[in-house]
Amino acid sequence: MFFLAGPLLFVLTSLPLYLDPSSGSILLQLLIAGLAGAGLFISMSWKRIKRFFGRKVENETEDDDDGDEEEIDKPRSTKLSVHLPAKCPTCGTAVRPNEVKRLDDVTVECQYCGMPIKVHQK
Amino acid sequence: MKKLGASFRDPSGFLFTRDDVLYRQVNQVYAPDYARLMDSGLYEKLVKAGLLVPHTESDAKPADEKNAFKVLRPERVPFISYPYEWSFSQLKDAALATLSIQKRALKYGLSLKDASAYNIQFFNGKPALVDTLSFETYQEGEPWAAYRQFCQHFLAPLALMAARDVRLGQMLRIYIDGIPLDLASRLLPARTRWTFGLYAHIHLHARAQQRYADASLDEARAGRTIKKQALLGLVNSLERAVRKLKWKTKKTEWGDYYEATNYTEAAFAHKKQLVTEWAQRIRPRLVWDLGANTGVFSRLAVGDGYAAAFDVDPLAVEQDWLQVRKEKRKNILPLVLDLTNPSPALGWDNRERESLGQRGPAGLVLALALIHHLAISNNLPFARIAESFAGLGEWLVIEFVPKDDSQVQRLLRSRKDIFGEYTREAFEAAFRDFFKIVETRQVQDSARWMYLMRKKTAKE
Repeated sequence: MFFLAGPLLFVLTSLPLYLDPSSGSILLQLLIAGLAGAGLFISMSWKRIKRFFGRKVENETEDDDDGDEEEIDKPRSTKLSVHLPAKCPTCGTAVRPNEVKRLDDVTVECQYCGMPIKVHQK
Repeated sequence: MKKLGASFRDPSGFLFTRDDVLYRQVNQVYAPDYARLMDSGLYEKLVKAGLLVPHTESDAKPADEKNAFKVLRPERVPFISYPYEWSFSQLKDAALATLSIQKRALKYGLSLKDASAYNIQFFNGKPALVDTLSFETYQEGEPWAAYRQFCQHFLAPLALMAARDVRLGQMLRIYIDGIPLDLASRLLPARTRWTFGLYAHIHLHARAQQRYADASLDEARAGRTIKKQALLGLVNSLERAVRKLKWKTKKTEWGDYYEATNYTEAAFAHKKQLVTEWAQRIRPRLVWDLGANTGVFSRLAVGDGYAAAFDVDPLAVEQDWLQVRKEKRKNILPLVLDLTNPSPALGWDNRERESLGQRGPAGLVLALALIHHLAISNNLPFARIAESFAGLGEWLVIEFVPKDDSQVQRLLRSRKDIFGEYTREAFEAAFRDFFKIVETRQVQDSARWMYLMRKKTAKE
């Protein structure tokens, strides 16, 4: 697991923490974040490889997601998103094309409430 | 000038009120971080997204001049609520809002230095951060100091509510800094170890805390750093873990209660009409709907004010919240509250979290189809109910449900009828001690009565 460790030369900065972050929590976080970061890297690379071979990537992850609602609302280049309604009919949340789960060709699952959303047919 | 009881932990500043206006003092130590928040564009971005309560800079006198850098005047949240009063989806939405804020902050070179659920309030119908001083300048390589707090305040209670029992959300009332992870780990079903998010962020997290309980921060870190990409990966991982948690409401014991109303369409319509009429006459700024169920009457009474819709049943509150979200309503806040044991004052010196009464008084209190639950299920004498209601608000719309009503008979089915005093006359007499009865109407097509009452002034 320790391949995730950063450069050992790093000098600890003493941040004025007013919250007790708990030593165990910090250690675990370093490990998980390493894994999660590596996971992100692998999935991004995998998509690049797929794209290179001309495969459509149906469910692009939010690697580059900056969490901006107004930007996410605009459908991206994914094939699925152009057919998606802007809002989930059940809970009214903005449908995030990158986060909805595809159930079948005409249905996706809302990333928020988990209810099915019908995809508009062209 | 009065410093707020909850605002003492963070040396960056604190809240105070003067002449009923809420201010936030920013201390000099926080000046660089504050400048960064405001100048980087993050403040504007978050306010625009509804994720941060906006403020203006004020020239009011600081409360502690020696340390002061600035005085802010934040917009006021219409009703302060606490995580132990939120339904499952409210806590989940608050968790996701916190993570969304952290992601945006990282993008702008800042990071949340705390992730307390108490820093989130419902503002304009959405969870928003109230603490402007929660941001610090992000330093490359540094881990997220608030990771533990996020897991305790959000992930652990949500996991317990979703995977074990929704009522475990009430544990937040006991543990003011969130549910200890070793306890959450023991209470969660074994199957939660098979999902990566819960296994890593709760079970493994609890073990790491135990193992390194006596280690210093430097020992635990051993010089390791964390890249920004990895930190974002961590936040994404938490977000996925939260999103995956779903409360399967169908399986609960409360399910069919809502269909079981016993009055006719006409009676229901008349009751609605009375509430609407009376509320329009009073035009309250703050409505407290006690026993609001899914908030039908809260919506009628709210007008251009704000309503807190309380119910003891987490499923009713959940449904109400989902509805509020769907309608994009900004003026209704559904909350879980057991009126027979309402939220007390909590925390240090009992001054960090306010009791229900301290957050009042309301302009209008609604108590519809409630009196029999209090008087019969909880054995409360009318006098005690009247006294309590008089402390909660100025106006009261209350429904009297007579003993021969089938809902009352339902309550009496399993117990001996010791309620000889449960009559309309006794009810009126008890309430007259504290209220002036302004109007009385029998609900059409029913034996129930509706009352509009106003609290007596000292002279009356």
